Amino acid sequence: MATISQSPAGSAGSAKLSKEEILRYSRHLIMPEVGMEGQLKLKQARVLCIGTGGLGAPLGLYLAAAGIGTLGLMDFDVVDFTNLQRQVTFGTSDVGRPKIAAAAERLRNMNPNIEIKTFETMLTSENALELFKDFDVIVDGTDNFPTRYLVNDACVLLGKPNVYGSIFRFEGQATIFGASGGPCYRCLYPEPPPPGLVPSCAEGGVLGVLPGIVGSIQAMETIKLILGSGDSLAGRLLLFDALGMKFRELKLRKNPACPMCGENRTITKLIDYYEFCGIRGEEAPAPVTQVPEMTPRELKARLDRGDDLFVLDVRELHEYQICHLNGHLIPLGEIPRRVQELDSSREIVVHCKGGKRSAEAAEFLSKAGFRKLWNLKGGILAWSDEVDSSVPKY
Amino acid sequence: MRVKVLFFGRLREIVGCAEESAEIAPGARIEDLFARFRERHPELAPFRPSLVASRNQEFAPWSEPLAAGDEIAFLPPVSGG
Repeated sequence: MATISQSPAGSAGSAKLSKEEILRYSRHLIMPEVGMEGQLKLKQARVLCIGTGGLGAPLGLYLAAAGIGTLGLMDFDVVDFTNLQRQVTFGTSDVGRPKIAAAAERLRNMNPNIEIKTFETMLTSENALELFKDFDVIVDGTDNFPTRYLVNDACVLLGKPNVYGSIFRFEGQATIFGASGGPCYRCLYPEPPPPGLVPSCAEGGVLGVLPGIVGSIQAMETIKLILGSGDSLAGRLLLFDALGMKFRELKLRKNPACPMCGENRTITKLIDYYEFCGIRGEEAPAPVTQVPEMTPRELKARLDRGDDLFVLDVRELHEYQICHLNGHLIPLGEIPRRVQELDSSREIVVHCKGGKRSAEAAEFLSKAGFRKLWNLKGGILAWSDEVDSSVPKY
Repeated sequence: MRVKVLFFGRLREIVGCAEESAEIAPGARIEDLFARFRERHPELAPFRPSLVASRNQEFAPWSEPLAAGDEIAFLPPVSGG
């Protein structure tokens, strides 16, 4: 069973619950697995949640409600409309506010007995060790590979458990890395995927309830870790398939050759994780194409002039149903076998949502011999921004 | 011999199903099984270096030999949060 070393700030003997706290935590206190001793352990625990988004929402809510004495929240993002479908800490009136401020306000209201420490900053190799050292458990609710490797490495260097959760569309994973000499994230995934191969929630979508379930599992494991109760997920990777409604698990092994936690470790300090993951900045590099770009305003002007332009939309049907520019729809993946639908003697303007897929399509068509090609710069999102705001953004 | 193969994440979309039964020669390793699917779906190739394989619900090296009735899973990393 995984355990943690408690905060040195005080032993369970010196802390006390107030009358209000006893009433508030009554349903915990009447179970012998928690009891007064367990509730005091929770009160003395210091947990840092990295990210207040989809996973961070249930994490923050349940850890605050459970009475984790010191709850650290870290995020540098601002609430936007697309967050509300799953990030249930935030309300519509929070749109535009820093996530950290909105989350702290909500959690303080939920439980004024706990201390909430906010860090409105991006986690970096420079600040991670300093930030982590004052916490007993680190919970990874981040949304990108560089930060996941950084959280892992900082936890291994400091000997702190890393309660991990991650999601993709309808699937989730959860485990505890680095507990009691168990495997770390690098034991499981030594190599990051090439940039752009694994879509993020923004690119690939996610069903809103999924992070609610996976984040709740992380919250449960965090609480069990602090209580020292039950069988922890350390050493087991839980795989959740929401469509099939199946939970599976995979026994994990520590990799003796792990560069981070193996016998002959080669990584002894934090590195540049964007470089390690092959990315600079957040966006995957756009595919290189020689096809010239047309701005939405240019396209509008030429259409208004009555120029003979063929607008080719290379998004998926379900995206076309959200909004469209009356273009001819051929999803990117179907272009090779439907290329005969296109007339190479006409000028073709290719567009997608943001300009990346259309660049790929244009490059393919250019190689197939099409000469009069344009790529709509910034896709239908830019069209909505620059030409017609009645076109919804998604 | 027959083995059961499970796909997760993007692999599921590429292969077109979550679960498949495969016939493979005795002595084949996990690597050979993956190569079989890679031939059919070349888009799987870039996933290989970052992929995790398991055999009978246990994390397994790519060189591990297969036995009849095994359940093999291929698991790409996911990063959403």
